Amino acid sequence: MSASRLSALGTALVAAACVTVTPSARSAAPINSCSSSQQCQAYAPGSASPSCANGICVSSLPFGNWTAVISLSADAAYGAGATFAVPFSTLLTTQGTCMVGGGTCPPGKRCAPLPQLVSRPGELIVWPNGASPTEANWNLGNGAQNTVMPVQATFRPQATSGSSLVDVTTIGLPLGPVDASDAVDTSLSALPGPGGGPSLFFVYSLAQLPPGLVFERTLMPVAPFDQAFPPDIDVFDLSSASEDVVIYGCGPGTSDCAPFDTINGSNGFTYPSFDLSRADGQRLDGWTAYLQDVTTLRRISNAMKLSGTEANGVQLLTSRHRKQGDALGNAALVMQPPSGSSLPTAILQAVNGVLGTAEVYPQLPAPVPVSGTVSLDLPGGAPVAADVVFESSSLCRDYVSGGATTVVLDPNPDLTFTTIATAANGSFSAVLPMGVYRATVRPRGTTAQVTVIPNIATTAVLPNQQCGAPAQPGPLVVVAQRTVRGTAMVVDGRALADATIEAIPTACSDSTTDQTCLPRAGSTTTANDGSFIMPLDQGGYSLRVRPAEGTALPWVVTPLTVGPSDMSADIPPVQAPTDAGFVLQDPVACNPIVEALVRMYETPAMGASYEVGEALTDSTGEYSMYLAPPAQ
Amino acid sequence: MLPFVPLGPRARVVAPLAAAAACGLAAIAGIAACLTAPPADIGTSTNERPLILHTSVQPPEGLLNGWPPDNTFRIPILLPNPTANCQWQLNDRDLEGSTKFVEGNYCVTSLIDGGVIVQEAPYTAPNDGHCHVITFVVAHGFSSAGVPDSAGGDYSIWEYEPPGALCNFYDAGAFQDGAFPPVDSGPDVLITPESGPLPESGVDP
Repeated sequence: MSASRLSALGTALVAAACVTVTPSARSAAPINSCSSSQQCQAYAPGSASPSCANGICVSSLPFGNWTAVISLSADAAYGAGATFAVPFSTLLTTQGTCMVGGGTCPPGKRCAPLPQLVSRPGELIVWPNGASPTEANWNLGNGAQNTVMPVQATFRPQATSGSSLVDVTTIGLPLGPVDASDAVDTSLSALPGPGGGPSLFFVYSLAQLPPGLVFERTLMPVAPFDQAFPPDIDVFDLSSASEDVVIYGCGPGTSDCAPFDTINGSNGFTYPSFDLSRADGQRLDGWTAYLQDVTTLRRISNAMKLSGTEANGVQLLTSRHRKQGDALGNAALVMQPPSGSSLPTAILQAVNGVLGTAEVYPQLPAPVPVSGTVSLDLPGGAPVAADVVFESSSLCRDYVSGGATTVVLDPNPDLTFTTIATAANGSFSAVLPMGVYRATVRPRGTTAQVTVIPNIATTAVLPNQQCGAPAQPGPLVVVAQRTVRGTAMVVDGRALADATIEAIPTACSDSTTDQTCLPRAGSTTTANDGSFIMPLDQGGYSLRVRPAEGTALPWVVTPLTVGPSDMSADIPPVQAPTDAGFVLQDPVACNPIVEALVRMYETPAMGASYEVGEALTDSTGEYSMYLAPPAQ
Repeated sequence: MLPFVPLGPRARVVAPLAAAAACGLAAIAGIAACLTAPPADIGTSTNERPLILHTSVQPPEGLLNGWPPDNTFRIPILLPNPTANCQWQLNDRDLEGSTKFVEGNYCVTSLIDGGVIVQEAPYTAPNDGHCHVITFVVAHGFSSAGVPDSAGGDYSIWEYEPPGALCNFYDAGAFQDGAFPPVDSGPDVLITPESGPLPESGVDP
């Protein structure tokens, strides 16, 4: 080959190498990108003109009312495993305030420190002369010596709802309870544990909550001491710099002590005490009695083990919010049969803070063995593998009037029974107390939808709500999932291809919000034309449109109610976003917060919060997040 | 003008080779210079195993401190090759029952090369009062239910202990009662192989 030919070949190779490389069609997802603000006009929502910043069209609309929920990595140098809830407005006001080491922040970035983490020890001390053994009926084995009670300390973020506190999870923020860890230490009081055992302290690490939220601290004595000592439940103030010491049994009026709550009985103030028995004269061995909060359904008293045919003088103590109100305020007495029993649990609510001092568990007709099938409502009725949840709405019990005993459906929900029957092959069996139930069929596959069936009776219902002969529930018929169609678009007219569509359950088909009957979540991906098809159960959802990661387009969240028919979902178009990205730093050394999960929640003035963005911080502590501006 | 110098026989062989080498280098340099364009997908990449960032999983792996408040498990996944296939499954093993497939799907898509995606797996808390082990598996693909194919996968595991339940998540003892000793082996007793029945009586010694 001549030199000229070789030269030509080399030139050809160079030329070939310089042909534009076209990437394969990885994704048809539209991308928010620009080189000038002129290109962003297509996004313009109303009069707010987006502008081009760092190659991305961003809205000039104000930021939304967002709260960042930041979960730190389990091996983070600062706040390992902790979760912070920080209003976005706080990130904005504190940006640039981390000044350790010169407060370095990359040029053009917004840097903000996380709030300080509070870490302190605490303990619960029992004063024998005030609470034990005479009043709490439990010998701690230390004579008259003060004793440190081993407890499980739990801190629950709370929000104010009217005059009461509710878990923040009920308003949509995913801030679960934080448990304290145990530690053996003598730095606090150097008092012994029960029986002269080790002094177990608890150590908590908590992040400050956003304004309007508080912690509720529950100190639950560990078994077996929880049979005699109630949990101490109180609103917790992180601003106090002192150690967290609670003392049981001091006299009223001492600020740092927690005397047990009393009720205002006919003989003056006294502790709640009950004589408990069963109307059929059977023994109470294995039964448990305690008080629970009517709202949270959490135990608020000691849990007394019962035995014999009569349990007299069962003292159930409470210590809630430091003597605010009566001990039986918003409380119910629970008589719980042994685990695995087919007897219902009695939940007797106090009326105006009054419960009878003698409570008798009613006599019930024999439970009914039931069996049935779960099948599709199609010709042939194919069997459906499912779990069937039976929840009693009204149970049969003996009722004595004028010397005559009749068996009636109790209109008061004092007796409750819930069980799950497995229908692996479409057939189920269970033993149910005689009564009327709500059955929720939860299919194990996607051939059928979650179906709520009211008024499933295991008794013949006679006039005057009298119970008759045992009855079988009959076949449970379910229907196929409904089909939801829709199309997601960008406001500039492009189809939102390759986006994730998620349906997050919010309400059951009967409009309740019980976990047992919530529809199942759904998820799918949009086609190149932005369309999607998704099978869903009937019920209420929050429909979330998540453009592909890396497109710099914001999520869209809209409510969706799936009825008995197939339907089309109406999805608002995706707008130009606002830039909610930040570099997160620890407040101690201003180091970057690496690999933290950042979830942003829209917190409307009315209604529950909902998630609008999600990202992970990188090795520099930065997360990128483009959020839809608040609705105008 | 430079005088023309005729090349010798040796030079006549070397010159084309040098020219070819120069052209080759030019071609390589040209290719290198053109790599500013978006990279082509590499269909034969062997780096297709998705990896979980275990320390950033929410809720943290291990014993659950209560069910996720929004009934969603969030698993950050590193996709070394974002164009590679990626699937996930969520399974629930009821310690008093069987293992149930909860949900499975393809991973969420990403336009970010070598990026981290946060995969969400929604699941409502079981209300049967039983102990459960929840397992999230992500893989290039599955060769069978829950078993990653040859490209490999990664797992996140959570144990759920409902209120009031006592769960033995790790007990592999004969009685699976969490005891060792005394119940599984007896106190202060050497563990020895069991003897068989006596040949004639058929009674255990």
